[in-house]
Order: sequence, then structure tokens, then C-alpha cells
Amino acid sequence: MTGQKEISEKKYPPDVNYRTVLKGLARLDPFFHLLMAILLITGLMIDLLGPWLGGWLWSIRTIAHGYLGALFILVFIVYIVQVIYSKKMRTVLTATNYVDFLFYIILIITGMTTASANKPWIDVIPGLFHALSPIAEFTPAIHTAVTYVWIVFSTVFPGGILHGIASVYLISHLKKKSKMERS
Amino acid sequence: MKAEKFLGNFGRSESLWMYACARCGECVDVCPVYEETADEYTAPGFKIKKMRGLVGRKLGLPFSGGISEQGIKKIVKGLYECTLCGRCWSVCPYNYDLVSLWETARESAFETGFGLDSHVEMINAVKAENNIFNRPHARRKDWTKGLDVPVKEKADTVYFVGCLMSYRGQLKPAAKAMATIMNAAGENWTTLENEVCCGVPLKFSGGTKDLEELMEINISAIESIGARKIVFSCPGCLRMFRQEYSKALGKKVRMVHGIELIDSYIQSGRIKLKDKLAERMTYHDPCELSRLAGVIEEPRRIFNSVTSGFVELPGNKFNVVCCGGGGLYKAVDLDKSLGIAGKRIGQAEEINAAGLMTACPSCYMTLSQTARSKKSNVKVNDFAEVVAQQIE
Repeated sequence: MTGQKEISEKKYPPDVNYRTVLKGLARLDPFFHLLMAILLITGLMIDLLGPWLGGWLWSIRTIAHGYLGALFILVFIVYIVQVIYSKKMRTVLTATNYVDFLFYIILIITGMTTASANKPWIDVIPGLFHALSPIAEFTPAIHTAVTYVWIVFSTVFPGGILHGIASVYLISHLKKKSKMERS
Repeated sequence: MKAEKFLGNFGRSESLWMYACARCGECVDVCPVYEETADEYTAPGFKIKKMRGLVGRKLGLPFSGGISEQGIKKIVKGLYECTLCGRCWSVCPYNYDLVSLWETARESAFETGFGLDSHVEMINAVKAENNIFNRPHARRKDWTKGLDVPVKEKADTVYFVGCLMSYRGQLKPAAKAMATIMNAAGENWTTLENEVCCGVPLKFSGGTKDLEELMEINISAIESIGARKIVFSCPGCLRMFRQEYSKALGKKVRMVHGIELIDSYIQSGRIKLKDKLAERMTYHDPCELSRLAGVIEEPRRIFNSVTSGFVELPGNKFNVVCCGGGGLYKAVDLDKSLGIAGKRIGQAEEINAAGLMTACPSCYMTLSQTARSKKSNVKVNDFAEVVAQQIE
């Protein structure tokens, strides 16, 4: 039987504005998106405000960005498995979404490599030790650069959450404008 | 090439929406038609994905893909394989009006020559006889035979009967029941001398060219009566009036469904009901009435006054699962439409309901047809008939 999702009552025809959008988005994979938001904000803090954070830098880097990042990996695996087995995999996702996932994977690998003193992939695939060791030196830079590329990608290309919010802003703006014109 | 013109009626809002869609797939998970057909072209999110390609191409965006008549035909087929139940809108995190989006896209499909033959026939019937069944207009009032149904020059309330209630034999008793209840309540009401189709089937088909002309006949008739209230048995007519006619009739004219009116009669004591029945009854919320018009608690108050055995169906109220008969879907794929209805009848059987009540002629037709073909013990009833039988 059709998915029995229980949605609280809302008015039709609907109003589209920031409040309704944020309310709606809040119920979409909330744990995944919350962690993603925390990691993005703390990552930007570390990169842009690092010299001014003083003693806070260690806590933000290790706990907020590091341990939550490790938790994110587990959540991401569950999320991806869910997506693979969902109807949306073959109906709504496009190339941009898959590129988005690729960004996540790069960020996870480079994050793990940067954070772990043992370089986890050495334990998993020891044969790659010689090939990957020199790269480890650049992983923090790759991690940071990919984050900025991802932000731009998510803003510019369809499918990204930031792009969606930007578009909805435009829609609500247009609606307001047309209402004003009517009155 | 007509393919180039498809979706040409999309404004900035619709075009932006194509790109704003979060690809969350919530709409895909809840769509009753996609559940039944398993054809990706019927999945709301997939239709948006495909239409995005066309919009992107018109805007000259890179990677927008090609545009072929064959491809558009597939999209259009998907647009018409939809009950317009609004379940996709209800779960959309952006709260975007997807019902309106589908209607706008259907309009474009029809205008560019991709409309369905069955819909063209229906529109021609409306043009010729002012009803969707191509039955003589003069017989629109046949349902009133043997009943005290007033046709007044001036009245407080107009009962807008609608095509289905006027012409479908099975539904005529429901229209009569509505009239009986209004008479019992002492309502100063009338029917329109020259009622014509409200136009909602035209809107659903996308063939809206003659809509204004049709609406004008009803508007001038209502204005000349000076009514302050219009009552409907059909939630489709109700939505059409609230969305389109209200622009002309203004806010002074209240538009209500019969179930709201009857609830107010019971609450105010204008009609008294006999002792409650003991029959186990349930209620199927019509999508247009519950989700799209917000009429949810009124029917429950009525049914709890009528029977002590009222039980709820799963997937109800705002989250109701469509019966399969909305949005002219029955004319597109009868088997699939009845397949969706079969699940609803099955749910009523699971809760051991003897009666399944509804407040929409289209739901009534779809569910009763399915119940008969399934040889189900569940009896489908219109709410007005049940209430009329219980009036003291």
C-alpha cells in the first residue's frame, strides 16, 4: 500500500515562504542534514577563523568536526543504503546528485586520512601504502578545497540544498511581487 | 514544431520550481498512481525531472537534453495518469503547489495538441449540452422528479448540483437526499434554472479555452438570485468555485460543501436525528474535500451522530489515500483506477466496516463500481442519503 506518511494538516492553496520551506526541510533526513550542517559550519570556522579561535580550535577540530565527522560516516552509509533501495534512486536523482555523493565520499576519505594518525586505509588496503602515503600530505588541503567546490556546486547546480533554498527564495519573492501587482 | 511549444505557458515560478525541487523523492513514495502502475513516468518527481529538461532547453541551459515528440508524449501520458489528489503536494518539503503545476502542464499539453481524445470528446459534450456526459441539457433536472425542489427567483442559498449528481442514476438519490435535508432544515434555497457544468473537468483536462464562457452562465444566474451561500455535493465543483468563481462572485458569497451545511444544521438543532444506528460504518475522505478544502472534522461529527459504530479508515483525513477516481484518471486507465479503489475497499473490509460513506460523487462512483466488481460486502453510501434516512 502507498506510503502512509503522516503529515500535519496545512492550508491549500499553499503559501511558499522561508518558514514553510524550513519546516518542510526539517523533516527530511533530519539527523543527516543536521550533522552535515554542523560539519560545514565547524569546517568553515576552522579554516577561516582558526588563528582567532585560540583554545577553542582544538575542541572544535577534534570534537565538533572530528568525532561528529566520524558519526557522519556511519549515518552517511545508512543514508546511501536507504537511497539505493528507495524509489527515488530511479525516479528523481540526477547526475548532479551523484556528483554530490562523490563529493561526500572524497570529503569522508580525506577527512579520515587527515584525522587518523594511523591512516586507516593503510590497515584496510596495506598494498596502497606506498602509493597513498605521499598523497596524505595533501589531504587537508584537498579536504578544504573540495568543501569550497562543493559549496559552489550546491549553490549553482540543481539538486543541491543551497540551490533549492535560493530558488524558493526567488519563488516567494515572485509571489509577493505578483500579489503586490494584483492589489 | 508543436513539441517546442510544450510548457510554453510556464512562468518564472514554474520554471524556477523545476530547479528548486530537492529531489527528496517524498512525492514518489506516496503517489497512489505510481504505486499502482510502477511506471516511472507516473511518479511526480520523475515528471518534474523530465519537464526540467524541457524547461532547461528553452532557457538555453547546458546539459538539458534533447526534445522529441515521442519523449513529450511519454511525459504527457504521465501528466494525465494522475488523480490530482494532492498527496505529492502534502509531503513536498517546499510546500510547492504541485496540483496547480500538473494542471498548468496539462493545459499546455492540451493547447499544443497533446490532449487526450477522450477529453476532447468530453469538452465537445460540454460545449454541446453543458454537461460532461453529452446528455440533453433539458434533462439536467430529471433528478428532481417526485420531490419538492424549488426554483426561485430570489433565495439565500443556491444548491449547485453538478453534472454527476444530475445525470448519474446511482447518484440521483443522493441529490434528492440533500434536497430533503435542506427542506427539513427550513433553508430558503433554490437550484439554478439553467445550471451548466462548473468547468472543473475542463480544467482537469487542460482544455480551458471555453472555461470563462461556461463560468459566465453560472455566475450571472447566481448573481441574479442574490444568494449569499452556495452548497455543493461535489468537492470538485466546490474547489472550482472557491478558486475561480470567487474572483467574480466576491467574498460575500459563502461556498460550502453539503457536509459542512448538514453539520451546521445538526449543531444548531435545525434538524434532529433519530437514535443512533449500530451499524459499523467508515468514511473515505475525498481528497478534494479533506486535503484541498480542509473539511475534515465536520463529517466525523455527523457520522458520530448517525451511528455508534463509526470507525476510521487507515490513511484518512489530511493524509487520505485517493480512491483512484480523481483528475479524470478513470478516463485514462480504468483498470488502474479501479485497482487503486480496490485497495481502499480492501481496507474497509479489513476493519469490518459494513458501510463506506463518502462525500464526493466521483469517489462514490469509483468505490461502488469496485465494490460491486469485487463482490465486496462493503456497501458504499453517499453521506446525504445516510443522514436523510436518520432525520426524525
